[in-house]
Amino acid sequence: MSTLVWQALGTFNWVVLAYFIVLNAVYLITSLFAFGALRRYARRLKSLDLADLVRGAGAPPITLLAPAYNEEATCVEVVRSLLTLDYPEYEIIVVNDGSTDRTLERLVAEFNLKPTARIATAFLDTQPVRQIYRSRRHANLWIIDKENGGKADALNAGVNFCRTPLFCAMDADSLLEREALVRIVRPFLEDAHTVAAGGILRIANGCVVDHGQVLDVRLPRNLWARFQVLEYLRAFLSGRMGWDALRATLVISGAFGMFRRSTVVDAGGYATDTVGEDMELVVRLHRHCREHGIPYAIHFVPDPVAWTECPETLRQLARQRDRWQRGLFQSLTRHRVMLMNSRYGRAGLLAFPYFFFLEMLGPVVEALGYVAFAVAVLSGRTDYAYVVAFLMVAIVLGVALSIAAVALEELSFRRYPRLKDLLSLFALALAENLGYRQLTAWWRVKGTWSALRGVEGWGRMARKGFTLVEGTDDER
Amino acid sequence: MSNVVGLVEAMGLRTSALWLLALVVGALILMALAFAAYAVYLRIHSDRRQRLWAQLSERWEGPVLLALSDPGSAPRVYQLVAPQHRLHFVRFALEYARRVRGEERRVLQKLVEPYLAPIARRAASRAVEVRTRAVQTLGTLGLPRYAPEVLKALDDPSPLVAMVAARALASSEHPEHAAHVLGHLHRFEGWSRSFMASMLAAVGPAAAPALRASFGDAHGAPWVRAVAAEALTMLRDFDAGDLAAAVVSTEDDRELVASALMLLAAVGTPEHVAAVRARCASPDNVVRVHALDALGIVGEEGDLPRLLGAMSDPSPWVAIHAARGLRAAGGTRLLRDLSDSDHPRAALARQVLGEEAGT
Repeated sequence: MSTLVWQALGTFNWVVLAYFIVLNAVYLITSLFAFGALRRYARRLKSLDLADLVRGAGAPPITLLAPAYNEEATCVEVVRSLLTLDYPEYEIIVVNDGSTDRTLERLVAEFNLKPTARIATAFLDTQPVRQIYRSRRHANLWIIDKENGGKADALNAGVNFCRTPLFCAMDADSLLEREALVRIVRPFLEDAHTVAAGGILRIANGCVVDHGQVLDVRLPRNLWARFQVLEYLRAFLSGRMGWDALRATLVISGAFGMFRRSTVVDAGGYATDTVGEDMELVVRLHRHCREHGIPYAIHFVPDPVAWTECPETLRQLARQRDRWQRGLFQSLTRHRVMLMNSRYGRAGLLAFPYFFFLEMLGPVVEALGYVAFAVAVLSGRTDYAYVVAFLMVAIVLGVALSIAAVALEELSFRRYPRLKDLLSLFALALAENLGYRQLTAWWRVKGTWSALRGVEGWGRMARKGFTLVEGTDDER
Repeated sequence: MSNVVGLVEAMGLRTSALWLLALVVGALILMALAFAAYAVYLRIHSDRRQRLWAQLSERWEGPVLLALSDPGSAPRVYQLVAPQHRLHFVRFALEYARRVRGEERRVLQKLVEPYLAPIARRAASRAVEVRTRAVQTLGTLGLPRYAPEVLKALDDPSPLVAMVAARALASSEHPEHAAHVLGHLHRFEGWSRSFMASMLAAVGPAAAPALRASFGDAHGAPWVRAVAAEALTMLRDFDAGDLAAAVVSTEDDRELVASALMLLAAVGTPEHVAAVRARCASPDNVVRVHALDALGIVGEEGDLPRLLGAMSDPSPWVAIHAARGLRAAGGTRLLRDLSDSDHPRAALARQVLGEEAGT
């Protein structure tokens, strides 16, 4: 019996090793694709004057949809930032999703909002709308006050009142850079079949913000937030850029994505019964377009930036990762028909299997793998070569890939200009593999378990508010 | 005993496999690290370049600005451009040229003229990005001298190069190039129609005859004709009104008819109203929307009931445009009456009245 257990453990160790090899090989491949794509993109930007491209009368009007639930700490700052965006024609619709704090009151007072008539242009099911407000001070600012129904429900309410061909979904706690819209709209100009495009999210913790604009980019002081800076760089610059180069973008962050309104309405809007409504929508758009024979394209664009506040405590971080994992699980299991299905093109044959096996099921293998490895080593039942291979695959290759992600950032956008920050990022690439990565694997296992048990709900993240430049009246 | 030997052999094989694996992974790690090191090298390199660029910009900025206001001082600028920095200077001038037109643009063109020959050679490079950059430079700073290179780029296998050439030609203050761009519009069918239209409209009124010819070409692709119609709309080309009415009356393509209706909304006259009215009952929402827009502008008082009736259209988009059309046609009182009633579109009437009041 004992021998059988050890044999099973040995076999499992091989499975774990294979998992790490495949996972890191995919990361390496996407990083290499991202490397080429970023270089091409940088050269392309030199050739095309983006501002000139968009400021011509051909720039389509855009509606910004910002669902807000208890965002009193950041909502005013965020709306201010939205009002200063550099784009010829846009509306802002903040959807107050039944906030129980003073979100609505703060917005009404700050922007001189008055009740106004506005009729719906689509009829996605949502919780009842209580009132629509328009700012007397800024004609393009609207607030929809509605009963609480969750983020997806709030976005659907915004889509119902959207009257521009494109809308940009974002979080009410994110700050868009002034040129973000100009940059993210580019794929819609270059390819009329584009139905969705995602921008990059960056961590605002530690940065200095003034009037809704990030003035000074710094690494956060909080260690957990620092790890997340690295994670975001890896996820966006190595991951999403690489998948975009492979033309298989399956995820657009809910905090910043641009969509063709008519296509989203035709596809049924955001799903309200999942916590991963952002990914679910993109997967459903793939399905909708493929199943109806609609030519389409979904892109990731690396330079339009949304700055977001990330969790700084382990508890909040754990909740966030639990929710992300549940969202991933719900999106992928709901659309499992796409798995390895050539009908869905590269999304079905490349991206979906990656997310299904490596992102959704992978954390379970990874977490158990660490335990099995520890048991095998402590019991002396494994040989030296295996230990070396495991450590190299699980740790050292991970470090190398994180360094590569930092390098991609250096190569392309260089948002962390201080040498100290750059060195910190390299150090974090090493440190995150010694505890943080294992923790996130554990949270994701818990998230998978939560999804299997049908746990719902978002959990709340207490907002600190952005670090404002010294001397402003709004400093909290 | 043989089992034990087999086990040992298997163990040996397993160990070899693991070492092989470690080697492969090691190679992958080296690759990733090399990748990182290369990027770090690029950072150092680009830091140096940025420093050089800052120095050169500082050196050239004053004299170039002086040359823009006093072209006679241009020769002094040449003395500040060392042979190894000529391409940098072209880049510097290009950034300025994007912001100026007319005489100032011509001064910049003259300043870089001696340095453009190597750029022209780059227009034939195998790398798409190099060709794009070269065409961009020649199109902004090298016309008309390098027009053949830019015109040739319209046929470049890369759509990006072709687009850069088209944009450069369209904004070149040389309207004779508009016809070439129009002739290559089919290459840009994937691009946004209104974007293409605005590019063509940038040529100015001189492009109108070519645009009208393209719009009226019954054998032309509907997409190209629709782009031409939208460009004519932006130019407010009143001579295109009759053509637009004819297209609205005879064509079936939805986008083409919608573009022609937009053109009529901009330049139509009461003579065209019959064609517009006929489309107000189109089964296609998009066509109805544009027809009602146009009717609100070119229609007569007798069209107010039609616009009011269209506010009850099942499509909210059609209803919104009917309400706006009603307002544009002078039906504000009707809208007010409706807004005070319990009509299902009372809120829409309030919305449109609010838009007029700017609230």
